[in-house]
Amino acid sequence: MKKYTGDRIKKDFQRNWSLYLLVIPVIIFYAIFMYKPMYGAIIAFMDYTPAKGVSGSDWVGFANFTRFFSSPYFVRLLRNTILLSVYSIVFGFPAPIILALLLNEVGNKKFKKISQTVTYLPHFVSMVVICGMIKDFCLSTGLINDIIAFFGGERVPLLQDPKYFRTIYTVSSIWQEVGWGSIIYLSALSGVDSQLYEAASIDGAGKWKQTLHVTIPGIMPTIIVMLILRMGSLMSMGYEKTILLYNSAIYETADIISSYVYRVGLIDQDWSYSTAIGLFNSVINCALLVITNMISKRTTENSLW
Amino acid sequence: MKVKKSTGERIFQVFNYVFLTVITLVCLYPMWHVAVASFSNSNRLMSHTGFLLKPLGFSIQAYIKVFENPMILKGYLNTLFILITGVFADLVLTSIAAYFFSRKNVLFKKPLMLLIMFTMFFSGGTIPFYLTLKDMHLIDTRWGLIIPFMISTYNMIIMRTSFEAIPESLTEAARIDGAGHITILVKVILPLSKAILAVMVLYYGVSIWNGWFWATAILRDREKYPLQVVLREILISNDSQGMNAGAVGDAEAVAQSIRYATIMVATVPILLVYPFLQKYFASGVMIGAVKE
Amino acid sequence: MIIALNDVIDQYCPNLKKYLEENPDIDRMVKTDNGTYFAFPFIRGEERLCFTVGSFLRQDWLDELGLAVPTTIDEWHDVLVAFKEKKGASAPLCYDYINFKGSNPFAFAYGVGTANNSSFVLDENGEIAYAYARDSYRDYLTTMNQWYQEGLIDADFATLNGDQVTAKMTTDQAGASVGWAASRMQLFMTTAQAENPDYLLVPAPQPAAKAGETPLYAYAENRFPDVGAAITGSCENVELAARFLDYGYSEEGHNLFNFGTEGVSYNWEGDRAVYTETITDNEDGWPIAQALAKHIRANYNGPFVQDLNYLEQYLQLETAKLCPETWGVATAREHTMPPVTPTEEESKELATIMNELGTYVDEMALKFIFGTESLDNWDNYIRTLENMNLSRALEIEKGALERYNAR
Repeated sequence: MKKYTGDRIKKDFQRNWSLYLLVIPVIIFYAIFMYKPMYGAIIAFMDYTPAKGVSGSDWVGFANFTRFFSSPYFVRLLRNTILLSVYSIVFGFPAPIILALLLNEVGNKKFKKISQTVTYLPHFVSMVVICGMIKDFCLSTGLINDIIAFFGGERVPLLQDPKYFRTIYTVSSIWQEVGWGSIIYLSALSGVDSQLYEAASIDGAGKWKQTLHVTIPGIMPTIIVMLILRMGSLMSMGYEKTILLYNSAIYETADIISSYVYRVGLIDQDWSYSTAIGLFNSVINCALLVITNMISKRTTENSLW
Repeated sequence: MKVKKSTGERIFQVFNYVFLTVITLVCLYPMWHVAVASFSNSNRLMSHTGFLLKPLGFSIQAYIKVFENPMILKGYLNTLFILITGVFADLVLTSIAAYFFSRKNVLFKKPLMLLIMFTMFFSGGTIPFYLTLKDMHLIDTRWGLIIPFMISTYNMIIMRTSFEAIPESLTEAARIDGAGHITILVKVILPLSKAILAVMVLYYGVSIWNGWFWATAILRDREKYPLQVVLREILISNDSQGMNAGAVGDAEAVAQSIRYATIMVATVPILLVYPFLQKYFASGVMIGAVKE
Repeated sequence: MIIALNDVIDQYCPNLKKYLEENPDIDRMVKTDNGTYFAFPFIRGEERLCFTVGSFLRQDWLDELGLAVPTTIDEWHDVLVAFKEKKGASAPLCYDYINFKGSNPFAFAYGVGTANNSSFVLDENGEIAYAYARDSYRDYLTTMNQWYQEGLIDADFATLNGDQVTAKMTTDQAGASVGWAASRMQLFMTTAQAENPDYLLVPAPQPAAKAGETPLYAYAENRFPDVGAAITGSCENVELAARFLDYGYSEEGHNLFNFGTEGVSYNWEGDRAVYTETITDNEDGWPIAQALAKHIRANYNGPFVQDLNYLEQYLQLETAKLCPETWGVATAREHTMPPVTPTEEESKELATIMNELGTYVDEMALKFIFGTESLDNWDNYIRTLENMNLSRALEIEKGALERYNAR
């Protein structure tokens, strides 16, 4: 790199030394709490015990990974993780966009304000409380079953039947985040040039056509960037909620890689194995991000980098 | 510009208002249910089915019980401690980082930013992070819930974007007057960034107030439990930890309405604050900010 | 790192040393296979303090229906049916499965109940067995499945927690439960009696699987439940720490930990320590558990010997006082796995196997009970356990047990 010549570095330090001094705590922070754990992930290739420490533990190569791949739970964990992610992309991702588009069409300011305030609300309720509420509502005597029973259905303990977990998870996640997620799109919508609408309506385009040809293309860059970001956290999503909601009766659909990492690592204290699974997850995540970004760059010219 | 609305558009408008009303009610109802249930008579609540529109009976008994629970009070105090110290520390370090990355003509800005952005997409994982906290002697301390979380990269980038929008002429003027970086940050930049600071206080505050995972992971001593961990024990407790020795009878159980009152006590403070900050939300939007 | 305590106990801990010498069966639990001590143990002073979990049900309903306290699984069935049909209980038997999945008396009736975080039991021949692979485990699951299908067990019992059980037990929706004497049974009674003075719970004895059989198994915690205090290598004054920790085993320390401060939380009546009203009838209206927690450690744990006298007073209500006696089974200890210690190598291997098994067993148990998995697939289940290397786990436990017995 031509940019970092000795001369330039010297000049830069002369000019900015106090700025660099100021940022040292930030660098230390990232070094300790972000990069040190990344280095610590090498225990995935060891038989780590706290007594021996990282330096004293034996290397085992890929043994922890092969153990995971040959585990009876591997296929199930992968399937559950992917399905839950696909559900939340397919249903959860468009939801705030639609909400934003609808809110954008509202003329009544007061109505819009109230709607926004209320739909943002669930985002501020803690995960513990949300899950406590979900558990209550899903009891066979809970609210949802009251409604089912009212329409003549049979009461089912919803969180004890593997069939329902993904639906409960996805619907409640939409409920939690739809309002909050719409903010970014609303702000993008406000940035769409109003002259474009005028031009379109002079051309005789109705509301629907305008939405299709002006609004959506206008917020497309936002949508794409959000989608790429979403893909990058695809595999790591949802462990907090899963841990709070699941029980052994529904592991079949509810147990995902990240909840398994938690159980194996922090509960059973199988450090190396848990780290290996986590690392596997992280790598897939990163790969997904890079791939989506690449595809997007080629096809839409929108990308993160 | 006035355009006559077509029938289709009018139908759409009606549909839109109805739909949004329904969505709004759906978002509101669960909280309403909890609020109303918390003021209800416990026994009538147990035998009630379906929606709750108003309290069944009226009693603040549940709230009295909640505040008599020493764990909840302790949890509250712990959370307040972590919240106040944490938000302060977060703001200090995040604004320093944001300030650095919003400066122009800094040679090593780009590579450092790349290193930081990388952490958004790749991490060592739960266990290595935990072991790092252990190495730093942060296990079983409240500092362990503050120090390792002082910068959220997302928040930092949002803040940086906002700092970048401040005209350079202002900071240059201060510079010429001989002000150092700290002075510029504190006296020039921050006073102009009230909106973004408000958003940051909210973002960091909410994540601290609502955080539970790392608290359960690192705290052993019940005296240090923040509110959410206490709540988790009351509302969820799906780990069979009660089986351990000595549990001849230490856990006190509570009635249904108390569960709801507990939720209220833990949730209302946040819900009271956020509408006032709502007008700043749009400035907390990070779109395009991640893009460099 | 914690340090070995053999020399320390010899030199500075006369009280603990004396106690361990007088109680060789406890001594055996505290030390490791090679005779090393690592802990200042929490010890349950008497066998009766170990029967801490059992079932209890509504005596007032039984009286009204003219039924006796059930002693067999069939009698339980009849009682639960009566509760459902005649008393309108929507969930006749209600407990939080998560806390009592292995430790409920119905499992013990079939010889597949477990205690002390072990999944192993000692069978009728004294042989070690994995509880969830025994033939009788299938019978247990069959019964539970039947009860669940008949609506005798709370439909939500896999997701319930203690508070929800309390709510149902105190509002006539449930009539029988499983749990601890004080924090469950006694609490339910004090809560419910405020509204319904007739409300009365009684403990039911450990049921037998079939009429005419004598129950052999029951929930029995170890006298040394594997909690205690230790001294780490970084301790600067080992002698001081040791003498301090030894205090709990002296008479004075025993009284402090179990009863608190004389004149404040207890007084002597003859040679029996009796809690004052500060504990039993707290001026600030604190429940007894909370008042105790402020003054003593006996309802939690620590480096001392727990006194039966504490429990007898903690259990204030007449029927609650009956619990330890009613729930106890003389032969329970013979079928309970003692606290064995596998070697470090074995521990790792065992943990790996047990964690994998545990997930599967937990999951299948509920599926069998809910009927989402047919019990016709039992053979398949057993085969899967074998594939998960159950036999190796048994082998390790067996070796550890032999070493334990040789201590």
